[in-house]
Amino acid sequence: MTKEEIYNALDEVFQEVFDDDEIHVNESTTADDIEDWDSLEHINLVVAVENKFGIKFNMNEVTTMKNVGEMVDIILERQQ
Amino acid sequence: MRITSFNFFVFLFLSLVVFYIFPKKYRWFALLGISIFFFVFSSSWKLLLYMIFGIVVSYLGSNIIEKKCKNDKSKKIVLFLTLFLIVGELAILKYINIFPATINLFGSLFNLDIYFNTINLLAPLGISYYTLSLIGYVTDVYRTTSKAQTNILKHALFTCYYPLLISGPVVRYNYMQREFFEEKKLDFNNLFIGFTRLIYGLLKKLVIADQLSQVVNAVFSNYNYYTGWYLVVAVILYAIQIYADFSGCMDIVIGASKMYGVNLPENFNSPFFSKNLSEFWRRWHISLGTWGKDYIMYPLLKANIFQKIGKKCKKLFGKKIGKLIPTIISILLLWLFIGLWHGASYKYIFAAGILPWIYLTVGQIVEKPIEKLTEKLHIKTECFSFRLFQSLRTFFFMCVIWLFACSPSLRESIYIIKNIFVNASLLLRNELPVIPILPILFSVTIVFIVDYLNYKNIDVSLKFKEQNLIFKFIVLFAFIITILIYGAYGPGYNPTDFIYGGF
Repeated sequence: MTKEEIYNALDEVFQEVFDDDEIHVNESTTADDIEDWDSLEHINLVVAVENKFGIKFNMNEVTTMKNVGEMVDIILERQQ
Repeated sequence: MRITSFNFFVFLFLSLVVFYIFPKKYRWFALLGISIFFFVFSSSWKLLLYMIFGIVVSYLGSNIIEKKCKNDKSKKIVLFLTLFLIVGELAILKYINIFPATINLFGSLFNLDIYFNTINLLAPLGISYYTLSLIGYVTDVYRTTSKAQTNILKHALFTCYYPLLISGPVVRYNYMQREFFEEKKLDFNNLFIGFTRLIYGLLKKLVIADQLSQVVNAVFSNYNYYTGWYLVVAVILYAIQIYADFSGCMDIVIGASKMYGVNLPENFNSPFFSKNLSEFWRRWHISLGTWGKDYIMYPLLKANIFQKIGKKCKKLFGKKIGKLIPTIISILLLWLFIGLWHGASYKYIFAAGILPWIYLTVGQIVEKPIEKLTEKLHIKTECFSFRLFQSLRTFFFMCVIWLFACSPSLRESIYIIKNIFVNASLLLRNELPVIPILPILFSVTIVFIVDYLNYKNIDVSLKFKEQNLIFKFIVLFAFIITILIYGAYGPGYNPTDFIYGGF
């Protein structure tokens, strides 16, 4: 998957998790940009991303990733 | 050794002299010696053995996980074994009484003639706090967030650093490692700021908490006599007391630690200004809350079983409710843990576990409908009056929790609630212990102002640091004089333990 494809797939996951078809993410998107993205929703989001891409984040990554860009970096690394 | 006693000040002064005499590189070693001395002086050599057990087990466990285990399965086995031993020690020393308490509760509920005596095992100072720090550390090594410490003495300092043993905070290894092992220079600013913070903590503890506790105790130990408004006022005073007690203790230990150049994380962030209860708990006993989130709640929510529950619930109840159910279950487990951590009694399981869970769950469910309703009714939410309403509402709900927490038992808290609705003569107030009201009000006002500035993101400690030396000395002097004249200490007072020191 290319970076662009990953961002497109992430848009779908975010729209599904946060119930908002208007959401489009980029590398600098953070929890501050999406109203319902709190610590609980973060876990749901992480699990939804794991299912979509067939990968696993470890707890360290879950609690330390700062923006969508870092999430995409991990996805790319796992896919290699 | 009480950290509010004169002995502690002598100890602090001598330990600082020893600490700064040591070469910079080995000052951490001096801290270890000072901490062991404090521990033994406050409890006994025998109890030190329990602590050494925790240190050795977590040291071996973390190093085996990092260096010897080849795959995730073996790492997991060593992790669980290590956690089992650390938690097992805490469970035996602090929670063994939950079994006789359960049997006695059933006995009294069904009028059975059975009664088991509780066992009083002595637990080492700070075990409830350092056990959580150790669990976090070993888990972090497993998660590769922390490197295992290879020097057992350095690892021992992380466990037994004496300012952390009184009432926490629960600390993270990565953070403390930087604080402990960076070279410490003698810095007058650190000494002054640390000492002022310590004195500010003493003001909270001796002038506010311990003075108010006399009235609170008098009312709650005679709740059939002091009924009605007396009970309401006593609960409000207890709320102020417990905050002054716990946050005062944190000020003392953070201040003392600062004098060695070791910055401890904050445990409070102006909780009484919170808009709602979830914000309150993000600002109250912060280190316990974030620990619970990182080591209990997140792993639970991410676990396969919770994901399966979530999927099933979504099919059965639709997406929104389906998503909510695993969250509610994990919050319940987290709060049951927090309730149990406070003490092996049903009072705490209910007051510090189930009740907060009910609050948060109901809060989550009604949050959106209430938002819509306020919008429909055109209620302004960004003005002072609405913010005041939100803070008072949060305070009221917390007072209900504290009413249960400060009652001798669950059963008696029911009587107390009933007695709130029984009128009592105003004249009874003459029989209450006399406390210095003006100095207490003065101190509470100072705490209120400091907390308000902090809530507005103004770094009070930094602002204080920037002032002229003469002003700083005047403030310090005023605090010391207030404590010496109006503090609850010396003959005629029973020195009171820190409430959270007992958990």
